[in-house]
Amino acid sequence: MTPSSPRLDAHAARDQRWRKRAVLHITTALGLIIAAGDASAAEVDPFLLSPEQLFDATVVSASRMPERLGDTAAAAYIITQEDIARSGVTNIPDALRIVPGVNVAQLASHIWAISIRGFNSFFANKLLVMVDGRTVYNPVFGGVFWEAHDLVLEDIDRIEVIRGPGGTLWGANAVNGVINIITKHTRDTQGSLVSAIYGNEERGTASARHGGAFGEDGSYRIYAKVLKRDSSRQPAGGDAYDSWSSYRGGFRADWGDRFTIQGDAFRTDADYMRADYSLLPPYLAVNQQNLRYTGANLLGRWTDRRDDGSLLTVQAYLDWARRDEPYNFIDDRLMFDLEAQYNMTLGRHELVAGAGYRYSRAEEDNEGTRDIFFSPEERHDSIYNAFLQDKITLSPERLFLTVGTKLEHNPFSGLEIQPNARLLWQPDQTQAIWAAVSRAVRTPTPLEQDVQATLGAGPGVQAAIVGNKNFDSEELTAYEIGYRKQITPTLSADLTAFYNDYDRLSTLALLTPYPVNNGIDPPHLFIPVEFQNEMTGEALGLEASVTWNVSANLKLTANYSYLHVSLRADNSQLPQEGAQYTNPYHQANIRASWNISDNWTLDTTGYFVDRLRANDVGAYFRVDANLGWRINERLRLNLIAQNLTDAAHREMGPATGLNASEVQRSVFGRLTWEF
Amino acid sequence: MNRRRFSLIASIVAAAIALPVYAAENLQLVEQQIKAGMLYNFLKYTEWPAGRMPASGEPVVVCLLGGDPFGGHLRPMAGRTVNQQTIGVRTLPPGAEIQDCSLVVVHADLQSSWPDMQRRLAGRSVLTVSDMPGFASTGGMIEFTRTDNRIGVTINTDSVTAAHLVVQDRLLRLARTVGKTPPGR
Repeated sequence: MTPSSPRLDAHAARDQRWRKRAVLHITTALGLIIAAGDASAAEVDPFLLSPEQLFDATVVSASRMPERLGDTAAAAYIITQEDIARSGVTNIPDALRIVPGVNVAQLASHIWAISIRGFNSFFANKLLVMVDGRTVYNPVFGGVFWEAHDLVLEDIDRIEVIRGPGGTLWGANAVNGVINIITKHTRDTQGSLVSAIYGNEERGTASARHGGAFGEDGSYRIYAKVLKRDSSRQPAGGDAYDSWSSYRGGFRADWGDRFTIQGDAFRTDADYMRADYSLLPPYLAVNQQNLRYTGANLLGRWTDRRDDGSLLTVQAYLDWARRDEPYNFIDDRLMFDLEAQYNMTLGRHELVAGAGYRYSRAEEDNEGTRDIFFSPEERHDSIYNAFLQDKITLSPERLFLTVGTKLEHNPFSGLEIQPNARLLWQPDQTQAIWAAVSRAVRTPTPLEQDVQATLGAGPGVQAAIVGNKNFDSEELTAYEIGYRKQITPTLSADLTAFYNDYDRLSTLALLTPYPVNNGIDPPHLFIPVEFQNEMTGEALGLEASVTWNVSANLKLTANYSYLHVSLRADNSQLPQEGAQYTNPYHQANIRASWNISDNWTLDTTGYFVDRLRANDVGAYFRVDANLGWRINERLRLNLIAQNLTDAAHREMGPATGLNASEVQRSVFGRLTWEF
Repeated sequence: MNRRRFSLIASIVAAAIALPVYAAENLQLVEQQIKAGMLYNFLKYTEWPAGRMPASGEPVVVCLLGGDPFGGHLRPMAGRTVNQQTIGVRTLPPGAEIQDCSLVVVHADLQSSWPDMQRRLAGRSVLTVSDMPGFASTGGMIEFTRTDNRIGVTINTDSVTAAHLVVQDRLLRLARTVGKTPPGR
């Protein structure tokens, strides 16, 4: 929904040339890396070492190929607990900045736009985000309100980021990627932990967790977290009025690996500035508002591991949330989700089959003067799905073919079929080559089908989005190829190239204006605008990741991604292609993790993000540093600086009705006490 | 950033990635590699009772029960020889028959079925190995442990002796032992 200017058309010809050159670069880089693989260092043969040498050897972190995802034919990146702790980030969006192919743009102290492989905006909706198996995107618009997922970072085990379509296993919205946030098993969070953060922007964050054991193999934890963050700065200078506070508490209990029950409740209060349009003077006013988001959820998961190697998992959860944006909308929503999954091995076939049901009850409150009206005000929706995937061993330990599909029925677009086929070849245990073709869809939301939302108003005229019940799913066919190589025992590389072919992408269309004289509003001309599926396009990209454990005390990680999106909406009256300019062409980062001594660590990360041509947001460098001191066995002190080299910068332009502020330099201390 | 400059940087990055970089070889290995090497030494420094080892010419079989905890690093051991016998490596589902296995690696995920498995193994001369926490203290024979960045092993000498196996001193000296039986010979 970002406006594009005619000036940008001039870029098209240059883009064409540039694309050719990019393809050349991708091919060259792939060729070089494969060549380097052949010429790699003679590896240490562990079977020729003596027992004494082995007992004396030191462990370097396992390669970037994690045990499970390393064997999958997909582009996967794992952010570990160690990565989170050592990077010094205070929230999940900042932790995601390191992942190649992921674009994180902070719009306000509590608002982030996050996307994978393009189409980033405040309304980014082609991404599936899960916390411990619970889907957390907001069904009203298909995007994620990240401020609602301010977890206790110390309790996160890992964040798995899968780039590319994950529709076959995960379902709708997993179009351009899946972010899977997984918290620790409670047997790994025994004892108590208290951590406190204070600085110029972080105005006091405290987390407390206590874990214990019960019964034969039961364990639990309870936790609470409070957060206060200072407002940021407007691009023109001055306070952006976006301070944020959040309260969260929850628990988790595990009975061995058989049964898990967990629950969470939160409330966040945030200031923000929004543009309110009116048919009455002064027509446009920028108002300071306070939004409140509250929610709670409860999840149970039962896992039955049979002696024949098969695995049955049944999971159910209840999730309630209420978002109150004054003068905008109130969304009150209850979801119930039930899923079952069965894994089994039959000769050369590793099968995964599953089925799921989701019920969602939405109550939208149209009372009062609001910009968004829902019709109907209340919805009861049922979504059914079933999937089957088979990993076939074509040649033992060498060649695998995975085929599968998901069938999903939803009330907005009916039946959706999301198949994929993936081939994995492991010539030896140090390298893997994979290729995949998949289809995924982003299903319609109430924003496109049910909503009347004011886009703008002036004297005697009003333009608004009107719901279009015929708005259909956006479709993607993706072609991916990847290569992973353990070059030496301490150096590994991961490379992915992809070509995405999009169809039926969302566009805005002007309908015939008509006069309104309802006796309530001043007489005016009403311009209806609706969502249609009139755009096609392609995305071409490359993602590279290198990890080098230089020594036991120094680890270097570097990531790079290139992305080119080009879109066409030839039959549309309005310019629509702006979405191709909301992503940086180039992103790169490098992190050095250094153990200075037994008790001192220093981690430095430098990020480069290319400019966004939409709204002319400049390229920026961001440098974060984290100096850690282990005072004793129980107490750690960290001094952390973010945006070290930059007083403030903007990461994305404003969204419809929403101000975009600047991200400021943040310096804070973090004290962690474990007992 | 202008594009020509990017082209240059991209080429440098590509070249940097491609350069074969040699790390200082002060024996730093991936955890599973160390464990794989140790497993080979368990085969080498354990004595099976006469008649309980496969006949010469037959391979000695290592079974990975419930999955491969070595992340593929054990694969190159298959086909090598230990004490003049070829080694075979098999990955088996949790409930599989383990008749031909001389050494069984029990996957850490099988904690709940371990007591059952132990009953099935009773009286057989099978060396059991696992990185399941508490394995050696609950009747298992060799448990991998990790302290900071070194891998160690805990050996239950009672379990080893009950299976009529003998672990040689060279290994026992490096390991931590539990059990009442005086270690080795």
